[in-house]
Amino acid sequence: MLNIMESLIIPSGQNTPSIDFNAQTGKLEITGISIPEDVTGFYQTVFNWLMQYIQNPAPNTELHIHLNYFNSASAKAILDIMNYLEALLDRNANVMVFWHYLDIDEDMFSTGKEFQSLVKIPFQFVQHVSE
Amino acid sequence: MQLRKFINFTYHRKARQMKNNRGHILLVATTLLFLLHAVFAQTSNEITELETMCARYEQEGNRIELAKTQSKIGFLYRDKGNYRLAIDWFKKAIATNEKLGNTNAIKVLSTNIGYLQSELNNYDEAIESFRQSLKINEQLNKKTDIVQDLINIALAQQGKQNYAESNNTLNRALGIAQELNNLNALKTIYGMLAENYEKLGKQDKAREYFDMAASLRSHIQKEEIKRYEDQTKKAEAEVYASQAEKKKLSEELTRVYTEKELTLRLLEQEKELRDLREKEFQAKERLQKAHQQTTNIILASLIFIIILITLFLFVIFKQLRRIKHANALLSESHRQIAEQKQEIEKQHAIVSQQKKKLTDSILYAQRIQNAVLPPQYVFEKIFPQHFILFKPRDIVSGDFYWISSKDNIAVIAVADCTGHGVPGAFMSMLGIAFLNEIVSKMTINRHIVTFHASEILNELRNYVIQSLHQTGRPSEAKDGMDIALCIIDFENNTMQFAGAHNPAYLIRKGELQIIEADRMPIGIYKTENKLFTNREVKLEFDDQIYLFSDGYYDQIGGPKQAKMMSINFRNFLLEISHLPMSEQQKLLEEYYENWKGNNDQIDDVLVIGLKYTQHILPSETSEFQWENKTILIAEDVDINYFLLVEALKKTKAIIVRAINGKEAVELSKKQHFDLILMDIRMPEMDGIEATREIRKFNPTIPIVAQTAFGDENDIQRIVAAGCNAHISKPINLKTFLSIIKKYINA
Repeated sequence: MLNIMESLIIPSGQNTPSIDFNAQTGKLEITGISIPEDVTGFYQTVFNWLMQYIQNPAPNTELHIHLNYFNSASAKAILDIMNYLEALLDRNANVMVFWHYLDIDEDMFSTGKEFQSLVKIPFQFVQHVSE
Repeated sequence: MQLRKFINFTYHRKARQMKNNRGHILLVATTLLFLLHAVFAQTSNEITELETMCARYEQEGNRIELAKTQSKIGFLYRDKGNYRLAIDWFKKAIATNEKLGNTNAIKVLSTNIGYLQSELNNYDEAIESFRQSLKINEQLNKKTDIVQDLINIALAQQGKQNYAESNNTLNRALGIAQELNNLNALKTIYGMLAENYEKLGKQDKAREYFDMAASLRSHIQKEEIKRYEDQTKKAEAEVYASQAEKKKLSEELTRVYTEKELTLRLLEQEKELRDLREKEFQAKERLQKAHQQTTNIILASLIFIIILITLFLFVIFKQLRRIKHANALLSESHRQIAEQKQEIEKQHAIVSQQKKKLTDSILYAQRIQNAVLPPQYVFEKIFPQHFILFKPRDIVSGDFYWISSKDNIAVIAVADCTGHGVPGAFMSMLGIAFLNEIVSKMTINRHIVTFHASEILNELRNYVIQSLHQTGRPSEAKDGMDIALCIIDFENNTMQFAGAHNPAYLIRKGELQIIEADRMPIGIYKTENKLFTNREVKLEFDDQIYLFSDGYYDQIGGPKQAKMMSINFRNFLLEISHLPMSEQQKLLEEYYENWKGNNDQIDDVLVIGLKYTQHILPSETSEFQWENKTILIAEDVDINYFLLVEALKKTKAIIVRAINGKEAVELSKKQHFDLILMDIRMPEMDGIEATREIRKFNPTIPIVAQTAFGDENDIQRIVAAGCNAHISKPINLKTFLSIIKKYINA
């Protein structure tokens, strides 16, 4: 029996990114900045959703990280998200991380590189031209 | 019956008392007796009745009634003139009364028997009866009655013509009567005495008593007249009073009459007035009727207007009420708002108080953190040209800096702990403590080979993982820190660098070089087994080294509300790199504040700039090299001792301390010293005495005394005690070293 899962949509806050995780299309987007006071509290909802999702994933899962800035605690949360999705690889499901960064933001690019080195999921770096 | 008895009794007494007018009295008495006899002829029947009653009472044993009845019969017989029977009944009554113990009755009855016996000329029996009464009165001490009994006895004695005896009796009565001042009795006694003396032929005595009796009689009469007059006066007064009352009443009556008359007159006047008014009213009425029609019209219009106004007012009133109601609602909601406001203020007060408490406690924590961070002068000594831009986001910081130097080497670190504020500060305290331990261990053990920047980071990572009990489980906290650490070797002009995430910048002649950091933190990580990379850079004078956390260039702001990014930071550093370090700090701060604008500070900010300049190398002080020399410092005050140690630090001399003169003497007995620095004022044993003692067994050892402000007296005593030289505190380093040099190499 096919369990239809609801999407996770959290609008962005002053210190929190917008979350748009679509269970049907498999497109998971994190956009904005992530500097919440209580990082664990904020990302727990996301982790809970992911735990469900990986039971019943879409055929193709894309994680789009489109963050301007995140603090070190958030970095760990993002890494945890990737770790959850890593489990899909063992089931021969398609997973890909799209790491978006501004052409001038080498910090974000190198951070992406670091993330790439930490997980087995293939990365695709998407450079955006600054205005 | 009672009345009759009284009259009889009175009659008898009167008859006896009026002895000198006996004839006349007897006539009267006889007349009276006759009358009485006529009136009470029917008493015989009564007596018979009473006698029957007596028999019955006797039978019944009712002695009280028997005695009363017997007396009654006696008196009835007496009244009838049958004295003998009367006496018999009186005697019977006495007998009954004796049984009852009724002495008063006995007394009266005896006296009556006495009178009757006197009437019958049985004077002896009379006297005996009177004596019976006298006996009772004497027992009761009834003086007036005693006098009467004595008079009665004296009368009977007179009847017997025994005048002398009668006089005796009268004299006895006279004494008591005088005592009682009983004038009537006295008068009788005097009269009888006069009578007796007359019979006895003693005319003088008789006249004397007669006069006395006469004067007493007139006195009594006067008294009576006076009493009568008083009664008359009293009666007159009463009459007068009643007359006054009558007058008053008549006056009252007159007044009432007058009032009545006045009222009547007033009523008349009122009537007239009423009539007048009636006429006036009628006139007015006629006038009114004339105006009535006009008034009616005016009134009708007026009522109409009033109704209009009332309606208008009613509408207004309604409106007002509606407004008032609305206002009430409004004020109610105002009140509620005020209440809520008050509640909010209260909550706010509580929150503020809690915040204050918390803030106070964090402010205190800040003091501790500031105390742990290296003081300015430590940097100053090693890098005369430097700056530290430190802006914690909160009161306490998760960023920290650290410096340590030994010989020609300085170790500097800038770290950024996970988080900021209090959790960050906790981590930073750990970091500082670990760095102190790691670096001091390495330097003390002189592990020169392993004394690498990367090695310090590897060690630090081990410390953090172990102390936080990190095991790598996904659920646990992955706290740790990013760090940039360099070791600067002033002798070899080199810099070692190792970084956990945080790189270092080196600007040389307007060019910026990034000294890369490893992409891993201090703490548990996927790559925790990977060692940190040690990078070495050759340094030139005027090279500028920058160590920093990411807080500066991660700040959001600027024209596009964007992250500053490291590239902008580097560009700005290059722009200002030609300026003095202090100026660079100022501009960096300005640039940051401008970028931030009204945005919140995102993270702790820490940027350290160091200019590599020519270090004062120990070779410069080579003339003061006493590597193999041992100096004894006798100094009780810690701060002075540390100052001396600091001054001698670069000479590499071995220093031994004695905390007083005595210890200095003992140490110098046991051990060889090349020189002794002797403080003068010390407890236990002062410097002068200690010098004398040392000189006793060691005349050659150089002893340099230290004096405060070169006290002349001290100097003389110092020289006398055997000191080679003296130096004045506060010491001048060059002079101090020169003096030591002069004696230590000798």
